[in-house]
Amino acid sequence: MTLKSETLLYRQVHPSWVQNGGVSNQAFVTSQTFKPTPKDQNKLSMYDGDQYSAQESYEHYSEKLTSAGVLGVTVKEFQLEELPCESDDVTFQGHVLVDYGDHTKGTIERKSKKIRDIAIQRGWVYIP
Amino acid sequence: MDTPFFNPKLHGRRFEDHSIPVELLEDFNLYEELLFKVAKWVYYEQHDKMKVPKGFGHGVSLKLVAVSEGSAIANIVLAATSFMVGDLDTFPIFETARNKIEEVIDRADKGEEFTDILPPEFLTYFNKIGRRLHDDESISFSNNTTRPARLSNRSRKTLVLSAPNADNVSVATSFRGKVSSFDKAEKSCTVISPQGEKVLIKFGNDYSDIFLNAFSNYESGQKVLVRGIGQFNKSDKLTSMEVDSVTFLDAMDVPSRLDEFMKYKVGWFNGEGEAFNEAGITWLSTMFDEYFQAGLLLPYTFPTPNGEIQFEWKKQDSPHDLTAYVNLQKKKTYVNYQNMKNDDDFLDLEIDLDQEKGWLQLMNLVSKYFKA
Repeated sequence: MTLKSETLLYRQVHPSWVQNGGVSNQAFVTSQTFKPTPKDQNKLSMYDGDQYSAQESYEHYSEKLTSAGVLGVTVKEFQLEELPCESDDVTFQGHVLVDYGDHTKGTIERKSKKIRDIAIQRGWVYIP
Repeated sequence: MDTPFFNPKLHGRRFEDHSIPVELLEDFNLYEELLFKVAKWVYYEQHDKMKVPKGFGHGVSLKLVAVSEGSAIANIVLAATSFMVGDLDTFPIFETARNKIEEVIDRADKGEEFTDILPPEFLTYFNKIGRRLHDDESISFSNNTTRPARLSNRSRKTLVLSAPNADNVSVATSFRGKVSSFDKAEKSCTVISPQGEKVLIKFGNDYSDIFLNAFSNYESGQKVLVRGIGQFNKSDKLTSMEVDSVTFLDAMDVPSRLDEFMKYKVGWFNGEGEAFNEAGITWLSTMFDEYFQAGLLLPYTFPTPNGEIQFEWKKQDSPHDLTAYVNLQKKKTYVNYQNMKNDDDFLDLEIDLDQEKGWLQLMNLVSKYFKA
């Protein structure tokens, strides 16, 4: 399925990647949230917001895994950072992979920070 | 008459400026006390007596005459108007006593049998001698390079806990946590660490307000840092402390945050994630405490699935973003700085945190963008 540029993609945030405290005691989310982990083979796992609501994505994810809440980034916002998004219905219907490709370590770090900032600017789209 | 007697050498970062903290001078006072008791025992053994002659040890004392360079070396003499008590020359007896103390320390340090050298009641002295040593510090009581008689917290614990009925050893320590209970009558409270470890804290009138305040704010997560003399049992578990000082911890306190990761088991990150090595976390906490400069913003601190620690500095309404990923085994950090408003303004570098200059380099970077 071809993703629309305005489609909001949802990312689950692990509780250990949220820290309270700091200015106004607001929760801070690490930039690691938008960086592929070693097992991800440079592809970040997201939910297609046209097929899942934020809450539905959380509930689907939490059946087996742990999430503190959901952040959202559009396909276009990823594309502007040269991070192509592709549907991956083989894994499950509504699964999307964002390809961090062959970017260098430093570039991936910078892009993950930018994407995190965009998501935080939007605000949490779902908190249980 | 001042006779050179021994030159204990203090090892550790605290002594690298060739000075001895005043709090450690108490150790030499206690050593003198032990020396005199052992000297009397040596006399009993050598002369098959149960009492020393009148005047034994009278006018004899240890004196610190200088601190030499090369870490901190205390030059100590045995001073006396005279070592003669009648026809008895007591100086060799004091030398034998010194040698026996050195031998028992050296054997304990090397894991050798030592309980046949001195009566066990003398070993309790090591519960006080050296109790203010930090874990990375030691005192070598002998100049013999193969038998240096090195007293550290490890060898102290071995010596003290070998004595009959000895259940605890005193060690200067610190402990972080929330105050979970408070007893006005007993002037004590319980501090609980993020891993659930509980320590009984005994305080005087000076600190009750701070502990009471922290207890009142338990639900909001207020933590304290307690420094003092801790009692460690045979399992090396801290059971209680007498307080030297207590301070409120910032909500962003890094060592407290690092403590939380100690309970993460393999697979903590939804099936991924390595466990964190206690030695590595302790190293990072200690170094961060030592080198982080006042007046700078504390970082957010996160675990990574591959067992590293991520520090992230970010300030509201500021374009600067700095992350440092610390490899706890290699003691190196990968640092990434980005100006979020200027793509061309960035920095990638690796810093060796096993050396002081590495920490200073990191702190210089932080101070450039993140003053509190």
